[in-house]
Amino acid sequence: MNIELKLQALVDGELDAREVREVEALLARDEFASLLVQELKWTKSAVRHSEAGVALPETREFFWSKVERGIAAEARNQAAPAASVAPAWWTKLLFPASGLAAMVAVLFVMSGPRSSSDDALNENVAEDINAYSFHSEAEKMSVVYVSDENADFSPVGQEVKNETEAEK
Amino acid sequence: MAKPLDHKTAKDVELVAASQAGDMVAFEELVARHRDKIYARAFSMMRNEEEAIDLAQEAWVKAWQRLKQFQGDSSFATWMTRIVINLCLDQLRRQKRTRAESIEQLDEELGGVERQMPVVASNPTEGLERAELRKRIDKAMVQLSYEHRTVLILHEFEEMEYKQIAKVMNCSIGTVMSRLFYARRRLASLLQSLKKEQQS
Amino acid sequence: MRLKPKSSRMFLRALLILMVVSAWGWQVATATAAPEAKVQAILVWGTDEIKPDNKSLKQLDGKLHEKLAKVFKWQHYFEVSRKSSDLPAGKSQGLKLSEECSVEIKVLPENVAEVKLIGKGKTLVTRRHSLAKAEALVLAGDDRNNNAWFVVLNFN
Repeated sequence: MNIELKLQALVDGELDAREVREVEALLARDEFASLLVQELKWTKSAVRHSEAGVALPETREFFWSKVERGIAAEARNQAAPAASVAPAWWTKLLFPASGLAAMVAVLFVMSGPRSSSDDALNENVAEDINAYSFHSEAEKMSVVYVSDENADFSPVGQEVKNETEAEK
Repeated sequence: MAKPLDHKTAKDVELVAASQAGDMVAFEELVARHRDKIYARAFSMMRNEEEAIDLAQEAWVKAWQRLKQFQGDSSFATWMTRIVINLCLDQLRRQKRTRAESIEQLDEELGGVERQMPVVASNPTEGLERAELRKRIDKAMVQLSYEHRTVLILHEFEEMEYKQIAKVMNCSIGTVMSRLFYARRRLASLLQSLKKEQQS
Repeated sequence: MRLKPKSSRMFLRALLILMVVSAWGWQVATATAAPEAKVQAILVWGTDEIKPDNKSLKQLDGKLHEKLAKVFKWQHYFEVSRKSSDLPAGKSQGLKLSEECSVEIKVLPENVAEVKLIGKGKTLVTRRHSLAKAEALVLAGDDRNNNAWFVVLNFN
């Protein structure tokens, strides 16, 4: 290890007792080494005290809705290959099962209007669009947020925003 | 009969245990408690708000999938921070592969430049208000390559030892020491330039 | 009694017609049972910039500004346009909010509004929203230069 790195290791407390004695002896007789240690010390301290308390610029509900969606998507991805290698015996039951499902569907349709509930709410988005939905109980609003990195669609006209060509 | 868990007042360990048993509400509480720290770490590494948000989100998804692996050897916050750091490093490596290296970065990789730098004798951050100090360090950190910035973050913010950094960054302890040395010396020089700029 | 093949076919035809008529009757009955509603749609632009020098933008009313600012990160919210309309039961109602953006709303029988957000002539999002609770539906998205747009729908 070269001497500069040894000086740094002293500052970081990464030397054993014998090495500490050696380096301290060097510091006593070498002014440049001493100045370098000072510089390393204040740099270390400045960085350590500079960590900003940056807060996530998204609300709890919005961020959680994205995490929740990510978890669901991953679960689907993991379930898909598992389904494709499932044993073939159950496929024999598909035909009668689909018939049963059709009967249930007919009964469901014929049973009349359903009561509305939050669970019944749903959304569809265009294939090339990535959207998140979440609900803010406090602000009494449901939100569907279209995440579009390129911002291809903008309902607010350029003339309204006073956009320059360079900004587009 | 076991008392139902009060998510708001429960300790992290209790929330983790409930999440491991599939309790999504408990996991949401963990996300709410630690989301700022995880985002801050991603932001300090990526220096880009959008990327930091995406990586923080990805880290939480990964955490949910790997919850069973969390044994409680460290705090949940530390475990989560490791996940987001690894995701950021993967992303930064991918980005580095796809862009040309600057001459300065090549210099850094060759090493030795840091030894030519004059020692900054007086501390250019002395007497600065905390907000101003943050601003200047922030400005200087942007000018470091991701490898140098990351070693500084892991050492100063995460308080990791050399060998832990070497493990996370998949390099030797010697490389960690050289990178840290270069990063500090360059930072000192950048901070001095910023002070001179301010004075003139 | 056993049915002859011909009468059997006739019976099946009659049954089929009866089913079709019943289904149609059910549709009509449920369509007419759909409640009427009113909607107010506001197109909002969210930005961190100070107000651009543009007269077509006006400051959003305080209450809505406060609501949006609590949920979203942008500092300034401007009203771009505002439209109101009655929503006749079972009929689709279109509201044009800007050159490239409109919404189509249809009140369904279950006291649910089906809202379609249309951008550049293409349906981007279709969302079903319960009218049972007095809650706003906000369709929003990224705009250029880290700005955002919002279509705020209030029903009553």
